[in-house]
Amino acid sequence: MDTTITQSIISVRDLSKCYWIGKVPFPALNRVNLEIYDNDFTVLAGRSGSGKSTLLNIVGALESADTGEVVVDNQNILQMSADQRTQFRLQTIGFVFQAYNLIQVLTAQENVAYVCRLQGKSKLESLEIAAHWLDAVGLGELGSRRPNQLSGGQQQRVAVARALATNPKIVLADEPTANLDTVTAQKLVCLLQKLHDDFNTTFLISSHDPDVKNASSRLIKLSDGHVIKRWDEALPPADPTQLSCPIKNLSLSQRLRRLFEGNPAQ
Amino acid sequence: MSHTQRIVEPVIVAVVISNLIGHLRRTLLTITAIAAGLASLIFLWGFNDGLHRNMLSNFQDAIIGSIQIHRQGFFEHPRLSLYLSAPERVIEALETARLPHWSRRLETFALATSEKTTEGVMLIGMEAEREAQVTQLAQRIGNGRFLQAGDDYSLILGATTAKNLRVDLGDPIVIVGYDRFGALVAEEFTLVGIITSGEMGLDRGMALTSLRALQEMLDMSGQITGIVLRVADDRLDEIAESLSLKLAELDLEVMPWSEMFPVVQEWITLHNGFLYLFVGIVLFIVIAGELNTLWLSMLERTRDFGILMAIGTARRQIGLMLLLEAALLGVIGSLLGILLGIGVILLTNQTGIDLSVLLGSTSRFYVDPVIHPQLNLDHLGMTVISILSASLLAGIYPAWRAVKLQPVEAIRNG
Repeated sequence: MDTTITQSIISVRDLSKCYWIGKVPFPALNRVNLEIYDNDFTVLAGRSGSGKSTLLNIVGALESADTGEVVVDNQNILQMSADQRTQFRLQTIGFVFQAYNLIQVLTAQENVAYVCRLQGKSKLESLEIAAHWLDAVGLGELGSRRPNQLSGGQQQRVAVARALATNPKIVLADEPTANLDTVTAQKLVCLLQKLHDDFNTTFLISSHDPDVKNASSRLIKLSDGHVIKRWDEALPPADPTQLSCPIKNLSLSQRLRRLFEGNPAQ
Repeated sequence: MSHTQRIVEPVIVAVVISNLIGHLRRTLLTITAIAAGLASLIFLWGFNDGLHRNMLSNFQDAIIGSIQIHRQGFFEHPRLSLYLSAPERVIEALETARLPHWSRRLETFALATSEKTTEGVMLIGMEAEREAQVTQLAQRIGNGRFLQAGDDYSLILGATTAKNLRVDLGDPIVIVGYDRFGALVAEEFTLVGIITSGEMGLDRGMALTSLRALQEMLDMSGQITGIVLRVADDRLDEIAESLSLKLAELDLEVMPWSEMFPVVQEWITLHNGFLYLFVGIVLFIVIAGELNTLWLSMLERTRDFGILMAIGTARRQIGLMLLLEAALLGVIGSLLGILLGIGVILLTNQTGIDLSVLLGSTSRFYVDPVIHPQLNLDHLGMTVISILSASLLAGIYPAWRAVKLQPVEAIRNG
């Protein structure tokens, strides 16, 4: 894992966001400042309500902020129009959500191919890319299944394939393991880590899952909308044995097959 | 960006189709509702048009024909002094215009007197041999026979008039009237036929005889008061206008049936108005039904729309999806509705719809008891366009609401 600080790909300055329920304010982020570096595997940690998801949503151009500045891949996203934000999400960001968020009427392959087609690729090319990424996450055989025919772990792997299929610069994952059992969650973390290693994509993951935190190269801890701890120096590589992931030296597809072997439902 | 937007539309179509297939029961229910609504409307229009066509045809066939040509003012005040001064020029114009179905008439008011009583009648002298080209009066004879070439003083009465005069076939009837100079004239006729049509206008107050006999009685040899034409319904106005122009210098009135009896046209317009109202109600039901479907579909998929927006789908494309869905439901439902509606019309056109139970013989108003629905392309087009527009309209509000969704809120609350 290359832990050298290269350059900042996400720069957050004095970011504040407050939600209102009626006349009652609920501050979510309060003057947050942070940098995320290119190719890092950064985890945003913190309790529920600490502001992790809000920060991810703002960085992913899904939500606006009250004040501050967010520069992602040299683009000031808070000044973008709705259409520009849509294009930004499509071209720059890959999302992995807690609840998988696949389109139920589309097959796994169609779910992944959909984003490629949004990017203007042909149907055939999109399906090929989707097949490649489904293979990369170990679901090459299940492309024709709809989400309701897949387990939670499989659905989340489809979501990971979808997030990477557009070749994004950044993958944002919001509590990706929260809906999974411990073993499946560990395997998913391994998968994310391997994909990060192999494809040199920046990962920013919000999670309070210890396995996810252990896998991170940088950790930022939020509490009540503030950054309370920051490990700006790269963390030591995660111990693969702790992640039930003793497969680091195999090829990606070999590792994935091994990773999910014997328990395809995960 | 525009290039990207243009070429991604097929994927929107793919998602829409997947969604329609993915929710097959809902899709089929909506399509069925649209198809049934449209088929019902098409059939109703077909029935309505068949009924009107039948009524108009019978109305013209009864006695008035399609167009009548008189001296100016005769229709309003039918006086013998307003006879046609140059009938041969009118006939020449008809021949030139290739209008072969015409017949001459001489009309006046008179009193019909039997041995028992007297009754006022409209006395019409007609050409027995040509009358079949302009009316179906001969078919309406319920007792006796119609006029024949060579008849002298034969008379045909309506059933009610004959009953009032208490006469039967072969009885003598004296007709008393005034000639064009106001002198009293009278002649004895023999009753040879009785009209039993069921229509009050024919059965009461009508007396028919041969043109030649009436000309003799009124001392108007070779004179007539009008010419009756029968033309195709779809050319009626065009022919009437053309003849008016051609015969302008003769001081004539060229009157289509709708001008002579506007109440019939007004009745049809009113009847169509009721149907337009009905169309409106059905359209409202279609809009409400489809709006309900699309609205529920939108609510059900709020989360999906949020996801689609989050992963890069433009709001415009989200709106397009719902509009496209509405359009597809409308188009498929309409196609099925057209097939079903036309099929039922074609079938019932052959078999007819027997309404004799509902139509008493005295209250038919020129309507046959068996109706043969007709396909009117204008009404078909209007109805189909209305249903399609209604379908699209039903998609606008859900599409607008979907476009207004915020991705995060949609995912969170959907």
